[in-house]
Amino acid sequence: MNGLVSFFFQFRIKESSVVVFVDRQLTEKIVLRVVDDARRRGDHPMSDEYHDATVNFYDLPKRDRASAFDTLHRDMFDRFGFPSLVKELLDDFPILREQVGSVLIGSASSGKDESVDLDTGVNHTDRKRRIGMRLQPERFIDLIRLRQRLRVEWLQLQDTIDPTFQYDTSQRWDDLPPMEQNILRDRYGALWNIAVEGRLARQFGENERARMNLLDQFNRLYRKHPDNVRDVVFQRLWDEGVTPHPSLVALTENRRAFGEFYSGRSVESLSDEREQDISEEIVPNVGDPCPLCRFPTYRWVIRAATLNGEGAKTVGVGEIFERIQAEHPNWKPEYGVCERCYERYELLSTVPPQSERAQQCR
Amino acid sequence: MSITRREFLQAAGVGVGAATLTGAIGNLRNLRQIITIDNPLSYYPNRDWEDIYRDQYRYDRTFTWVCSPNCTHQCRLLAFERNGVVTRIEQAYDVDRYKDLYGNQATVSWNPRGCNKGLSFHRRLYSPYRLRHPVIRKGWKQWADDRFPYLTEELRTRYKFDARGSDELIRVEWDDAFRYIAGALTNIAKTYSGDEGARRLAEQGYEPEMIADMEGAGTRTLKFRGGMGLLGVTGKYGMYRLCNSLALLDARIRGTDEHTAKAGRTWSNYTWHGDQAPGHPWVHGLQAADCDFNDLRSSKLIVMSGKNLVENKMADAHFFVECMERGAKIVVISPEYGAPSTKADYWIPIRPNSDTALFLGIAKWIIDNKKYDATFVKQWTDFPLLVRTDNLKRLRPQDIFPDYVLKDISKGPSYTEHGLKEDQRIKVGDFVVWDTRTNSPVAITRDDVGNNLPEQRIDPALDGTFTVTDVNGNEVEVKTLFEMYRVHLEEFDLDTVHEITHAPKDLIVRLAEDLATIQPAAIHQGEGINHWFHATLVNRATYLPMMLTGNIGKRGAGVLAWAGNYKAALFQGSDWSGPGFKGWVAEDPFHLSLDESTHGKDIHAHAYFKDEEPAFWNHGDKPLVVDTPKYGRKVFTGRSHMPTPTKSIIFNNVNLLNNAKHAYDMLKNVNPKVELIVSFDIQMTSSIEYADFGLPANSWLEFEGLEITAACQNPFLQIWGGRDNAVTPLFDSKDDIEILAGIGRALAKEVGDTRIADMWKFVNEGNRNVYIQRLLDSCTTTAGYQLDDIMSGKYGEPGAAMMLFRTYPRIPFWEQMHDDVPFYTDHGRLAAYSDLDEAIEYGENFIAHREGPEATPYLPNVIVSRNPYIRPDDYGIPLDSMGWDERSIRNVKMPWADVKNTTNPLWQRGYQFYCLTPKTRHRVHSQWSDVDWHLIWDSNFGDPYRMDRRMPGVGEQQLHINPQAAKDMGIEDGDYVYVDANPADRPYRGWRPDDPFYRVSRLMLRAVYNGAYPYNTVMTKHGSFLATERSVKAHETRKDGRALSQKTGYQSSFRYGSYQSITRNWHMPMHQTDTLFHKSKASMSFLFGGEADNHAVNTVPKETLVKITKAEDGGLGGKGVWNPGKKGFAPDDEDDFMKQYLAGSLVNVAKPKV
Repeated sequence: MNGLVSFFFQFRIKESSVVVFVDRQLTEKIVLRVVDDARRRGDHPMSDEYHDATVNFYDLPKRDRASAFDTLHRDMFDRFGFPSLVKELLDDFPILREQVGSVLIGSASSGKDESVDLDTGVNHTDRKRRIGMRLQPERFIDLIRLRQRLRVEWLQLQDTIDPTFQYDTSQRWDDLPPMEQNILRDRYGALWNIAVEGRLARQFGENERARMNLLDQFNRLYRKHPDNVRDVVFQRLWDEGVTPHPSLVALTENRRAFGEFYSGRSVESLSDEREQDISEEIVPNVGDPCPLCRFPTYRWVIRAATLNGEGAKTVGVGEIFERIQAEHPNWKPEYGVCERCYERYELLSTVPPQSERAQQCR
Repeated sequence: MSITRREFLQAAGVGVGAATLTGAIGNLRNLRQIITIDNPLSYYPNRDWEDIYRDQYRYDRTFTWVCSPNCTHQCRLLAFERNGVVTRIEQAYDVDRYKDLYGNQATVSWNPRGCNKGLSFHRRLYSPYRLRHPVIRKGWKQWADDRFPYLTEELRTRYKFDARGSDELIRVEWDDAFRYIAGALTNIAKTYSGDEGARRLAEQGYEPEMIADMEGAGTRTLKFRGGMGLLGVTGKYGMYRLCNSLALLDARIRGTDEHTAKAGRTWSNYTWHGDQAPGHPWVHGLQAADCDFNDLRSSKLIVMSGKNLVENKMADAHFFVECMERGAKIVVISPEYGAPSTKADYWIPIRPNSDTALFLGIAKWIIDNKKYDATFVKQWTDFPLLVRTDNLKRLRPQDIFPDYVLKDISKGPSYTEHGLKEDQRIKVGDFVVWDTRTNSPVAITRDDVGNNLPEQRIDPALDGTFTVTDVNGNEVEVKTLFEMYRVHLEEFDLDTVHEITHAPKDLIVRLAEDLATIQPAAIHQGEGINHWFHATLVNRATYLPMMLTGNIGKRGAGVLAWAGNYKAALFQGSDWSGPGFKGWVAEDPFHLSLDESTHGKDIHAHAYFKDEEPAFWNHGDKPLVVDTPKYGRKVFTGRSHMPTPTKSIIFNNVNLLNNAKHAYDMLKNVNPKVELIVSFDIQMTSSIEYADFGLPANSWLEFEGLEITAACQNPFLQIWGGRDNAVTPLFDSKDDIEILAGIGRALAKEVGDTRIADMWKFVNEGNRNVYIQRLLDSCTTTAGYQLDDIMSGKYGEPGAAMMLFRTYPRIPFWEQMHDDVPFYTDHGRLAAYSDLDEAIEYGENFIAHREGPEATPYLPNVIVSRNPYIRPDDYGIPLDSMGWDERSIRNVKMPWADVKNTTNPLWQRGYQFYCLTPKTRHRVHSQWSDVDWHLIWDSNFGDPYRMDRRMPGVGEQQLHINPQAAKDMGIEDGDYVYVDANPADRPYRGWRPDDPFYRVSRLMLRAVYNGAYPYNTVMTKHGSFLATERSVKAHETRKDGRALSQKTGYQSSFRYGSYQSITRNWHMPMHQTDTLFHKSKASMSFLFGGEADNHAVNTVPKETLVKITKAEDGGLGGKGVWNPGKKGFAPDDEDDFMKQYLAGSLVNVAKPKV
């Protein structure tokens, strides 16, 4: 902890043992950004105050200048209310307040670089956890939006240590190709966000924009399901208290769980049926992986069902499906197959065997 | 257990700390006291800071070296070294000082030479992807350590011969590597020698003709390839010397002697790359016609037919650009509007693979409009020769003149200059023309060309049908070939040519008029033509207008082939000079010249090896054999081409597996039967990922001894290297020739025959220059040069000189035109017709337009003709047969009116895109494929930050596609797409969707909109590094997503697959005759039939049709649309500003009031 002091300002939270560490350079960037923003908005007193204070620093001996700037930046940062924001967040999330000993705020260079995370605390002497946030300086210009954003993140952090959420860190999808992993992770992320935003909406008031964004995302990720089913599932997730992690995983992985959830039943018991259920996806989705080659495809060959999305589809021939099944007994025509794989089995009969026989390595 | 979601804390702590520390140091530096001065203009206290800028370019020494990839330029460049590190490379500007033995000096206009590749070579030299030490495959080592048990199917699996890509490569010391390789060569040769060896090979399924061609020698299963050997004659071509030494191994194994011993097989380069214009030997008998590049300035009309002189001849493209300044007309014929089209007076868009029809149409126009040069046609072409209409053979004097005796031409140029032998003379025979002066047939010889004809008072008829009586009293109808061509060309009227080629009619006529009226005119052809199955016909057709107009053998004229630095012929041997290049590669191991002072002319050369086309290995390791309905099993591969089974492949300076067509088929179905694969390279390649040995070679900047090269498009002899003109090798690498000598020494020990080591005596003694001097001594182009003189700078820059050519610039067929010597064909004339049995049988006796066996919307391989003198044999192959070999040999003739109503079944299935795979300006084939700068420059997706972690590296392979075509398929600009070819055999035969190797081998890349490509044509550059099992695994498991193989450090250019996923090898029957009479490539002599790099199977990667389907969204991380494609500047997404820019209306300049 002591090593951090060289690079971070330390702020104490009133009525709390939580310490906030903010990267000194980030603090300076934020102060300058806020002052500059104020000046642009015509709020000259803030800008004047800053310059009145700093102009005197240049009269100080050189060795004292840096610390004078540091002090000013620290004070202004404190005055702008950022440490108070942390306090408010801690008040909003009691489980975190209980378990967290410090909050570390660093600088992110881009949106992609931003993150909010929680460690286990096992390496700290007080055994308390630490929240680490990496944020872009411009986030601090609009505190209201920052608070909204951090609430989502912090509630998810709280979920991870809330026993009722039953968070499980074991990597479930490592055995899958990255593209399939991405699809499942996108789905899981969307479901968790819906549940979290729904709870926040009830606690702090409706955020219609967030709701609409999530609904769009949800509809895109679950295109294969009928509209009415999707609507019910979305609303139930939004309205429910804490939807436990195993339920979210089950909803992510298998279609049957989706149906059960739609019917108002618990779905946790299905979460171990991913392998079987994933292969029972009846209607293929554009961009989903082909069940045979596992390459994502936008061109499906299916038996007769409806394809979700804009991709091309062809109704296949039974004889070809039989050839596929001969090599892949667990595959069913209902699953569909990508056009490329279909052709492979279709063309098996059109190449004269002699070309194949003569050239094949024996 | 951590529940950190993004491992933030650790990263943040380090990152912030590091940043702060850096800042602190920076601040300290700034605490320096500021000196106060009154007037900075009168006095400036400290200018030391300026040294920072000056020192950036400081160097300790400079030296010149030769950038020697397969680009055909071989530029000498200037390296700047500082603290032992090459910090930059510049163009040398030294060519104007180059001289020859006689004082001729190169023009200053050659300066400057060099391009972006050479100038960035230090990025390769210091690249993280260098091969740093010898490696051996773990499973192979186990096989060797188990004393090479015979490889049954089970043992192949146990030792991972069928899973090389997932085996481990481990470090091995050089001496151990040599010992292992020598042991394997000996073992393989023993295993497959004699009757037992033949039995084993038959059991493994090799064709009987292949086994028979071994004549019992197991050494014949050992294949060697010096990658484009001309690029380093001692080190690279030295591979064939090693091969020749295996005659001693055979002698030891089978007890043979110098008369019966057989060495290995030497693999070709030029033909296997598909670089050769395979029609050239059919027209003039020479391997290829090309000029020195400064001859381009003499052209008044330059036609680029499937050739991109801008991007592919970068170092010397300025000579073509100069033509614009000189008022020459420039024409480009290509499917796409590319870089050269922007320089052209007019661009003729053409359907890929249809150029023959265009040139036939032009020839018809020239003949119909009587724009031909009748004198030239009579004196230099086969148009006046008489052809029998009954059997389509040329009329021979002995057919009609009883007891005809061949004329004596022993004092003529055929014998005295070309090296014609008596048996060849008898076989070639004489020919008959119809003499208009006597109105009768007369016999002529191959020497009766040019002015020799009028001197004999013979005026051959060009038109005419005649009846002659043969020696048996039968009447035979004969026609002049010219007359027959009138019939042949009837099909190719303007409307038909337009329908076949899609070329605009007005431009067809315009080109015909230009070719008929502008002289000198030159047509340059490259891979855009030569990479198609019917390139032979296109090449032959291209000559037609030039034969008719006499555009041959003059400055600025000709049909010139530009691809690949193939030309071993530059080190030409002859009776007077000595064995030339052959004295190096084929010095007789039974009669070695071990005396240092032996003159090169006195070296005894004897080739115990036999050359071979790797195309056969690349075709399932088999020749072209088809079970035909009409004749049963039929072998189309001639004896002179016949391959032997491949059990060992040793190669250097070539990314052999990466560049193999159908590469994944090779890896999956062919190479498991190969028992030893050795690659020498400077960097980690996919070839090494799938090899048994990777041996690190020194790069051009690290050569510890001298190396010698030359180029097919300039007259410069280049020698470089040695300790004073190189940097110390960075890693545990060796010069190629040292590696070869090391294998030789180990083999000598293994076999117990010191002569094998003595093949490298002067290398072993550190005196390899002896071999270079012998080479100089014995070549027609270098005889008289002393190596020491060249290295001392007697002829300009030390190491440089000019090769001894008759003219500067070198002009192909200058001797023919000026000295009245024959061309290198059987009749000594430029040939528009072939009466070889094979040509008649295949329907290619005339130059006919054929659709490709795959890349066509119409009936595959159909001959488009109504000509009654084309009578092909279809062997009974059904029209709906889709077997690849069946399509190759199905010779069906149809008029265009019928052809256009046929359909290629693949086209019907949606495989409706021709896929062009040209060379990029940012690589030389696969070289520079892993250089960061070039990866970034080479595509629209280059990104050093890799914002999208799906990218395999800092660059990405892309597919250029017509925007409308892409939109019709739901593909956005920047999307990832699959590019698939015929699913029957690609990416490899027997693929299954659930085979992990299929996941490796299916091509996925980025699509980029490019309106320069027509609707049904896409393009992706060739040469980039293919995805391997290790690179795909890395891509799918590394956090950063890079396709960077774990442990080997191989950087793939692709996430999945390669451009080789869509290619295959095609065995062109016309490339496999035993009867074609033509010049040997590296000596003044003739031969019939096959010779590697000369008359042999050319590979044809463009012969494919592809289907394109969307794979993933192009946006960052696979979400949404690729951002740059929607910025308003991309093709088909132009905003108003961009539209104004393109329209040239951004700035309106008001006309001044007068």
